[in-house]
Amino acid sequence: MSDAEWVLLLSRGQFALTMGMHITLAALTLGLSPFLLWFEARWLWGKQPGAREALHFWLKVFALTVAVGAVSGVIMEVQFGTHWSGLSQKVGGVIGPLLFYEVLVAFFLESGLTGVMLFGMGKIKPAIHFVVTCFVTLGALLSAFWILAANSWLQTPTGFTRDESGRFLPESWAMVLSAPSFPFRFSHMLLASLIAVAFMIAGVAARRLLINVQEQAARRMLTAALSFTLVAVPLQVVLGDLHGENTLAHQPAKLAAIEGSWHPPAADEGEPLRLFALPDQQAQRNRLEVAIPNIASLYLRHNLSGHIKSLSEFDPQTIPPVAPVFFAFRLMVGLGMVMLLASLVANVQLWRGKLTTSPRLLKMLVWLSPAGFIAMLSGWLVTEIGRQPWTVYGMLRTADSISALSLSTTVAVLAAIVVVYGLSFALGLRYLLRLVGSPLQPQGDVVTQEIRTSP
Amino acid sequence: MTIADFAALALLLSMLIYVLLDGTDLGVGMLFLWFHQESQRKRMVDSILPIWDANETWLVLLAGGMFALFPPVYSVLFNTLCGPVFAMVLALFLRGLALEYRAQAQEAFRHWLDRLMCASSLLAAFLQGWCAGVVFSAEPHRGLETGFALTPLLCGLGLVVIYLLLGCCWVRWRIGEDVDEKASALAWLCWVLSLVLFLSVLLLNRDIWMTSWQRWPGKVAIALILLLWLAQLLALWRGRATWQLALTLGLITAVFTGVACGFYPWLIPYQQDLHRSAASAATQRFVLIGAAIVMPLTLLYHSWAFWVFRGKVR
Repeated sequence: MSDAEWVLLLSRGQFALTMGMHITLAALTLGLSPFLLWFEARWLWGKQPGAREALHFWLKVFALTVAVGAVSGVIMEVQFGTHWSGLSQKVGGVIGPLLFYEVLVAFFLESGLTGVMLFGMGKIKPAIHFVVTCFVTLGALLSAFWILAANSWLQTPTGFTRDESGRFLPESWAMVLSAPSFPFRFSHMLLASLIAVAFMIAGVAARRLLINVQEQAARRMLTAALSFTLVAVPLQVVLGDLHGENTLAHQPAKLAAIEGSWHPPAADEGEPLRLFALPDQQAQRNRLEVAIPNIASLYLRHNLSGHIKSLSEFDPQTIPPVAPVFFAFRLMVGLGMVMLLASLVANVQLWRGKLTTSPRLLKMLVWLSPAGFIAMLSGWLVTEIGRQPWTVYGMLRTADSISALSLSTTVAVLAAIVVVYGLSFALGLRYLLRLVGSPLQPQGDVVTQEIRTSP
Repeated sequence: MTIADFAALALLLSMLIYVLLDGTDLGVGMLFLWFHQESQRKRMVDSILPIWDANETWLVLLAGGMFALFPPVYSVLFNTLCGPVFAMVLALFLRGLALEYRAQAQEAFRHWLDRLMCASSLLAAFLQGWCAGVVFSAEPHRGLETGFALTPLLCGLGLVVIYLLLGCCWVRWRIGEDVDEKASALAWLCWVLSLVLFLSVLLLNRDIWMTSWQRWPGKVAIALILLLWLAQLLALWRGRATWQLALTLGLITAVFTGVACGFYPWLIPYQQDLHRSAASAATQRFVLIGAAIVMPLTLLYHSWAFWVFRGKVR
């Protein structure tokens, strides 16, 4: 491999690493803040026992992650310039404003009021604190809106013209904001964050109940999280299906990679559902394929004989690396099915009042606590690797988006990032796990830590 | 004024607000070098804990704004300064870690976090100044020189002492009592050092100031700079912390205005001017209308967030 190819590969690796970390933290904020809101409302107006402790407990988790999440956003914001100057010069005029609005209406709202939410209890009235929590939640939601608007435009660009130097110019902002994949991507991601956090809450609550079955707050958390998943997980399956159909319409090569479909099946057969295969990019075929005939047509075409465009029908220079897309998709769907089943079983037992006394079910929930996050990250890999080799789909290649950086700079920067991120991840996880097992603090105004001031 | 001028002004404003706000809490971080008692350090951290995150967001707005409004400047600048910029943001990352995990850590580990806090604040401040110095010392036909040079070094040190001065004023105002004496002595030292560094950078880059002097806002700014340096002396002597903080903030604003007048119309001297590197008018209008509506609101609720934690930190 030449130096330039290494620079491209390492820069992509770096983007994946920093984005993966940022997505996880952003999803945690996005998914957790509505639960904070719920616990706070139940405490203030429902007078529900345990709701207040649940609120304080999760505010502490929020405090552990929100700052690192925010600073990892700074890294994303400079990375487009340092490593992807080809992309930023060409599309800055289109996605730049979307990222700018994200900072302006969302990031500011979140960062400005998070401090008050975390440290302000006791300094302001509880009702005002509730309003602050609402705004933090709104900030996280708006943030996801703008970021996914930018991402959706890159995936399915609309509403632009190009000048003679190849720069993208916005034709109409309404059209830029109505990229065809945006509604599906936004709702799918939003729900993914909420489900990921719900399973985390359920897992943590289960862990606490295994230690002390009497804990009111843990019961509160468990009920809230599990009831939510009962509605959300089936809804997510439907949304995922709709998102898939949208991909079929706008990014057919990605969908063919997801299905591992190299060649069209015989004319009288439908697309098979491939449960397992080892895709071979060079030979354009699958090894060790295990498939059920015709089933894929059912969910792709809603009949038993419909076809999709298969990978061999595209120019080989325009299809994504098939294996990672294929496997990441199966991991996501597999985990989704496990979560669906677990949610059903746990909810049934919860209604029968038998969940808290069943160590086996509680342990299962503990094991499933990272499942939603893993599924979300797999889904993200599917959509991002699946759009390769493009940064602006069908318009600008990843190889033409890169900066002219030296290999030594690229390696040094990446190494520094790996060390710093590794350190912060290890430290954050350590404090998180310690918090999960520690007894709840007695009631008081202190939320995360008290900042005492004199008038 | 064209729309591109307004765009550049908006960027200048978010950079200024960033320096004024986050400069103060970076300064507080560096002050750990001189304050060792746990009770003092705890109050110093408490005084910035609820607000540092919001302060840093202005940097994100600056980067995002540059991306949207002047894409070529954004990509040239960050691409050329890749090394120092990444070192700077990673320093900010580590600083966030040290700040947020401080309350969780056991004593021995807390000492390490405090060292990290001090070193990362120092590094971030120095590198911000360094990057500014690289842009400052750009010469015709050569582009940005990223190698070692005197101006970036002096700018880096200059920003470090100015942030320290802000930090001293802040802790005197918000904590007072037992930190007052040392912070006040340090403020004197920083005042002298920053003046020396300011003058040496000025002498090394006379062109910028000469250009600035030829324009009326530049004239006003330079006169104000002179006045504010002297007023600072008075405030230091009389020992009024709030006055001193206000004067330092004013001084930084005046220096920003002076430099901006010296740069105009260049964003990167001799390489990118603000009219030719501007994004399309449609893009700039879309961004600026939003900024004009939302920015005042932002300032309003951020001020309220500051207000919630008013009073001396105990």
